Parts: sequence; structure tokens; C-alpha cells
Amino acid sequence: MNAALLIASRELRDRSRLFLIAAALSVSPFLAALTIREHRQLGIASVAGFLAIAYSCSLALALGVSSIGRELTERRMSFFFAKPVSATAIWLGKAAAGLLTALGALAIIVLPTFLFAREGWKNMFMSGGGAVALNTALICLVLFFGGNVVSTMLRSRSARVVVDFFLLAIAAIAAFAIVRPILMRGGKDIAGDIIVGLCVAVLLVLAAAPAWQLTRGRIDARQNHAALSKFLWIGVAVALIGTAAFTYWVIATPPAKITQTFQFDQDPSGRWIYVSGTAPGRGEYMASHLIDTATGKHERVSGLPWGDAHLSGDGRMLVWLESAEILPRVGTSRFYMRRLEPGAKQIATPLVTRLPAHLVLSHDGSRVALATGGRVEVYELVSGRLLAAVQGIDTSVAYLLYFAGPDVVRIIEADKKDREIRHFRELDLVERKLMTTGEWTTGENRGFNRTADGSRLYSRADSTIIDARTGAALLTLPVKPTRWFYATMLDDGSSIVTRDAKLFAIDANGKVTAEVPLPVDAALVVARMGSSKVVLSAGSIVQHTQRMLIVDLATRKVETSVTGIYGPMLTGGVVPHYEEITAFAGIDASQKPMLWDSRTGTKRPLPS
Amino acid sequence: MSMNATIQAEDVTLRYGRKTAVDDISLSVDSGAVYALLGRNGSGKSSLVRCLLGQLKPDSGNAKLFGEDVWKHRTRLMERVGVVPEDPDAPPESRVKDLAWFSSKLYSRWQQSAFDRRIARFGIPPAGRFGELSKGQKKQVSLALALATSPEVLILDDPTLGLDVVARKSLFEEVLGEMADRGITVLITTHDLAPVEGIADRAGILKDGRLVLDEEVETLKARFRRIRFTSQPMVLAQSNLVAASVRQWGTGTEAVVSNYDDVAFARLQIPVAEVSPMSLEEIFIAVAGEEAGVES
Repeated sequence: MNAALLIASRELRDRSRLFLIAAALSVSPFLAALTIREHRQLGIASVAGFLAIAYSCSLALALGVSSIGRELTERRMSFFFAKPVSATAIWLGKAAAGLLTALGALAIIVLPTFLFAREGWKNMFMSGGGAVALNTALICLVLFFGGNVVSTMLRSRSARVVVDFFLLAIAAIAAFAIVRPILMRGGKDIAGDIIVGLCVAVLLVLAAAPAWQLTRGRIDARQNHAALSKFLWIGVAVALIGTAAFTYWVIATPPAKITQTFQFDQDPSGRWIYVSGTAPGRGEYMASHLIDTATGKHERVSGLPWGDAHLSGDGRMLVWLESAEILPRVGTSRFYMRRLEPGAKQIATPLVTRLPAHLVLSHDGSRVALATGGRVEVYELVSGRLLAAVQGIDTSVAYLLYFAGPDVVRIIEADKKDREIRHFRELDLVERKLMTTGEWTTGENRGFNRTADGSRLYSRADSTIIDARTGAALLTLPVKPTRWFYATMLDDGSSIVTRDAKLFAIDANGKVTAEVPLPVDAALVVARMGSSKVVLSAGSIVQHTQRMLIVDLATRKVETSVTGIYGPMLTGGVVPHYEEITAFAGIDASQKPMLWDSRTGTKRPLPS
Repeated sequence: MSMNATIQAEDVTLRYGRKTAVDDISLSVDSGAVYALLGRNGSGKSSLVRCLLGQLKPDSGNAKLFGEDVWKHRTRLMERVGVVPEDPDAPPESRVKDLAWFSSKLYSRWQQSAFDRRIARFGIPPAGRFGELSKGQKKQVSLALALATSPEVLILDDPTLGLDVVARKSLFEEVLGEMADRGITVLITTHDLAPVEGIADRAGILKDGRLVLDEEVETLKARFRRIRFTSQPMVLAQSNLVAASVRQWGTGTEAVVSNYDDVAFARLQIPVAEVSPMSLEEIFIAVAGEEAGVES
């Protein structure tokens, strides 16, 4: 007979009393049921389940603590080492016997009630009893193997135990430090998988360590402790290194691996791209990169998960928030900024704030306006200095906030009683004063888009251009769109409407200046390019009818038509105005980010 | 070192932290010989035995059985070795018959009938739990288990410690019987020197972890003598006799010499001297230290 099986068999023979106790406990649920009037079967199953878990876990711990540790201190391990059995066989036999005892006791307690109170167990399993059974088995493993390790260490009475506790603390801190970057970027699912993987690895180390411990230490308690510690901590270190390597693989996701895009922005020159999204095998970890398309270089941006990074209007600054918390929870965040210049560094600003409901940058990205909790605050980013703050703003209703100049923040909020009325206010950063400058009444909340200087607003619901300061109506578009999103005011105050397979260009005075035939019935304007071109999006990317069009208003022709891609993205209140660029950022039908050539429509992947 | 050595220690040193338990010991036991390893409590006997059984790893030196490193090849070598430990180490919950069943599956030369006979002779119930047996019975079970494996080497670590006179006698009878039948090699550590004196071929004495004496028993007994002088033994200083111990004896002096020689002593012409041979126990006391005496 195999030595390990023989030892297991010998140990089990000595534990007949433990099985008798389990048999006695298996009867007690039926006795307890005598006091239950309703749901008797469920009561029996519940009592049996509780007793089985409590008894098997207690046994696992007691046997884990005594299997080696107690025999070493009571000097009985020589019984095995004086015989022709290997240390590995001794451990395997003892471990098998210990676990069989604990799990066998569990089965003995549960089995009679399972046969005679099946309905009760059925109800228990439907309410997660199966998971409880699996978890109980896992807990037994942890208690048995963990009990052995703790027992061996404490019973040796060696000063080495101080080192063990120190290393335990280091390992716990290291594990947290390894997983934290993923947690901070929204990868709770993958972090959970990593933690489970790490726990399984540590459990395997705990299970294997005693074989090494006995091979090296044999009957000497201190040598056992020394060998166990060595194996355990090397094993834990290897597991941590493996975990760190996997974490690095997740964190180092290159832009080309992103398949689900969350944010994809491009500066006006087209050179700098910010992309964030998830990649296969990385769960919900949000990979974010700033890409220099001129060089193909990219760098990681560790912003908040699901939090936007912001390109300044002049395209020279990227600003984002990173958590300032040690633990991955919503709390305070710190502003970071990076100039969009080759070789520039990411700068941690002194500005730390709670996550705002609204955040806008000044045109040059040097200032930020934050609105949250009924308060609007404006800060200088580099210094973190508060420039102005006002209370009493209702940030929970239809709302617009933007810099109307370096020293003016325009706030448009709905009336607290009549939601159709919009109040136009200005926060003067020099005077530190809030003024109400006008109001506008609209029938529907479709929001506004605005000119680059913020002087005009286009009310989408009303097809009307209004003065952004006073709310006075300036003009109504002469061509009505069939649906509200087929009309857009551009950054210079001119407008585009598409309907009936035509594009209508309308100047800032409301005069139609061009009509261009389109290959589609209507399209949405997503960007302006150069002095005379507009970029339009038509069809549905989900239904694979997506089409991007570049229309030259000067020649009144569709210059480029490309299918199966969407981008650049329309973000914020101002239609982005690009220079004559060749590579646009876009996503395909599966949301994978890529670049496409504005002249040829050729698609190419992001840098890897 | 003998080429025929079954048990060998080569410069074995073992430390527990800063304390040196076994200090650079070399010894060998030839095949079929009986070696008595003597020493006071804490002298390092059990530590040396555990090194020789591959249970403790020497900090330096080698412990060998049958010419092989016992630390490396313990599992295989233990098939040929029977052990009676100083403290009975079998699991207390185990029944005697279960211990025999366990051993029977591990040793290819297991003799169940021999085990049953011995247990019956000792009057031990086979269904009794090991932990419920008396100390003497535990030793007897350990011996029965060790001998039933048909060992080529029998290692007895203080086998009579705590046993009454009857139990000691029966234990040695079993060992003697086995030796007579099979000619096994025996290493015995003990305080009970009288029975060992009759069977040991060679003896070693450990003192503070060092092997201070390692010699054939007969040679040992031939060269040790107790000499009693009626006056101060000025003659000792003039002779080449080496005194292992010297003490007051009435108005005279008693010396134990370790290099006694009849012819040389006669030449000294000391008529008042009384010369008597010594037992192994007396030699042990003289060498290992009389002040603490020998434990029983």
C-alpha cells in the first residue's frame, strides 16, 4: 500500500470517536425539529447545515493545528521518521486524513437530513446553499493548512515568528499595492480574479509547504519552523511576483489592444489623441493613453475610472483627475495636467477636490471651474489657488457651465420652480461676483451648443440662435431639420442643417450660403476641418450602416466617404474645429479605436 | 574507521542555537557488534542517536548507516533498522494491534507471529490503546515493534529509563535472544550499565557533547583500576600512571588510574596499596563525573 494512503488510513482509524460525535450530531436536527411548527423540513436542514459547518470547520482547524505542530512539540514525529516513509508521504497522509475527517464529518451530519428532509435542503440550495457548501469546503482547506502553518510557527517558540509576522504584513501590503492600480482604474472584476488567483496560489503554497518543512526539519520543531518559513515566504514571494507580472500586463495594455472605447478625443491639430477603454482579458480595467500620432509614442494616464480627461480648447493641455485616496473609493481626487508637447511631463497639481458633478476648463487649460453640491468654484490649476466661489447653484437640473473668457464663467441653470426657464448668470473672477444677465424659455430640454468664444448659443429644441449673455433670440434657422440632431451651430456661429439628401450651410446672419447634395438623407455634423470642410456622420454603427462624410463647402462636394467607422467624437458644447489633418480618431462597429485617413478613408490601428 | 562499520559517525557536530549538543564526534560500530553509548543526562546521547537515524541533520560531519548517508537515504535505510526511542512516541490513540498493522505494511520482513508472541509474553492487551499503557508496557510495545521488523540494526535509546527491575530484565532478555538468533548490530544508550556490561563489545562515553572515551569493553576494564593508598600517593607522581580521579579515602587516598599495568605497578613496590578491578559503571562514574552520580 502506498505510504501516504497507509498513514491516512492509520490516522483515520484513530479518529473513530470524531465520526461517532458527527453521527450523534446528525440526529440533533430531528430533535430540534420537534420544537418547530412551520417549515419543519427547512428548520431541520438549517440546523443540520449549521452543525455541519461549525463541526467540520472546528475539526479542520483542530486537526490542522495538531497534525504536525502538536506531534513535533510532543516529540512524537520520530514515530514516523524511524520508519521507511518519506516526509512527503507523512504530510500527504496526514493532510488527506485531516481533510477527510473534516469533510467526512460534514457529510455524516448532513446525510440523514438530506434523505429525510430533502425539501428543506432543496429550499436551502435554491437560496445559495450550494455556494455555502463549496465555501465550507474551501474554509476547511484554509483552516487546515493555515492552522498547520500557524501552529508550527507558534509552537516552535522561536524568535523567527516575529520575522514571520513582519513578512506577513509586508506580503499583505505588497498584495494590496499590486492590486490597487487596477482597482483604482475600475477593474474590480479583474482585481477580484487576481485576488482569488493569489489566494489559490497561497493556499497551494500552504498545502505544499509542510512536505518541504518535514523533509528539511524532520523531528526538530525549530528546523521545521525555519524550513516552513523559508518555503512559505519564497512561495508567497513567487505568487506575488506572478501577480505583479499579471497586473503589469493588465496595466500596460497598449492602445492597439483596446477594443471597447470609453473616450476618444483628438486635439485640433490632430497630433495628440487621448483614448481610454477596455481590452480583452483585462476585465473592466480602464486603459487610458495619450498618443502622439506624429511619433507613435504613447504614455499611460492613470485617471479615475469612467472619468473623462479634458483637452483644453486650444489643444495644448490635457487635464485629468486621479484618486488621492489610498483605498479605491470615491473620495478626494487630485488634478493632473500635461502640456501637449513632445517630452512634457505629467504634473500633479496641488488641487485636490471631491469628485465634481461638472468640470470645465478655460480655453488654455490653466483654470478649472467645478460645480457640485450647489457650489461653483474656480481654481488656478498650477497653484491650486481658489479664484472665486459661489453658493446656491442648483447643479442637479439642466445646466451649462463654461468659460466665456479667461475671467468669466457662464452658468446656465433651470429655474427651481419652472423648469422651462433658463437663467443666464456670469461669475466674474476679477470682481468675484455672480450676476444674472438674462433668461431663455424653451419648450424641451435638448441642450445647447455654442460658439468657440461662447457669445452665442444654439437652442436645439427651438432651432434658434440666442445671445449667450442676455438670452435674446438672434435668429431662427431658415431650414428646419427633420430631427433636432441634424442641425448644428459651428464654432464660428455659422450653422449646418441636413435634410432631404442635402446639406444646407447657413451663415451667422441666418442666410443659406451653400447647398450640397449628400449620398444620405441626413447626417450629423461632428466636426469642422480647415476653413471650409465639415465632417458628418450618418447611419448607425450598431446596424453596420455607419458612414463618415467630409464635405467641402467651398467646392460643394462630398470629398471623402468612408464606411464602418465613427469619429471624431462629438463632445462638449462646441463642435470641434480641426486643422487640415489626415488622421482622424474613430471607432469601428465593435468599438475598437483606430485612425482613418480623411483623404482616402484608409483605416489603421493605434500604436501598440 | 572500520571498513566493516554498519553505524558510523564522522566528525558529527550538532548545535541547537548557540548550544553545541554533539561536538565533533566520530565513532563506528561494526556489523554484529553491540556498542554501549554512555553519558549523563544532556551529554548529547539522544542527539547523536537522532543524527544516526537521519532525524536530525548534523551541522557538520556525516552520519552513516550501512555506509550510506542516513540524512539523504533515511527512507530506504529505515527498512533495515529497528528503533526503541527514549520516549515512547507512538500515537496515544492507536491500539497496539493497529500499530502492528501499520508497521506490517511498511516492512517487507515483518514477523507478525514474533510480535504477537512478545506482546503475549509481556502481557499487553492487543486492543489496548498505546496512550493508556504503563511506561514499561509502552517500552515493551516499542521493542516488540522494532524486533518484529527483523532489523539488521537495532538502536535502543535509553530503553530501560523509568522501567522497574522486572521490565528491565525482560527487555534485555528479548534483545539478547534476538542477538543470539540473528546477530544484529546494536547501538544502545543507557544508564543501566550492569546488563550492558555483559553484552557490549565496545563502549563510548559522552561528556558535554564530546566523546571522551571509545574503546573495547574488555580493554577498558583491563586498564582501569581503583588503587587505595594508606597515605598520600606520592608514588603516583613519580610513576607513569594516569589518574582519572583522586579522592580522600579515610585517612588515605583512592585513585582511579586509566593505564594500569600489573608488571609496572609491581615494580613500584607499594605494599600498603590495594588494587581492585572496576565495573563499567564505576569506570563511567570516574570518567563522566562522580559528583552527579548515575541516574537510575
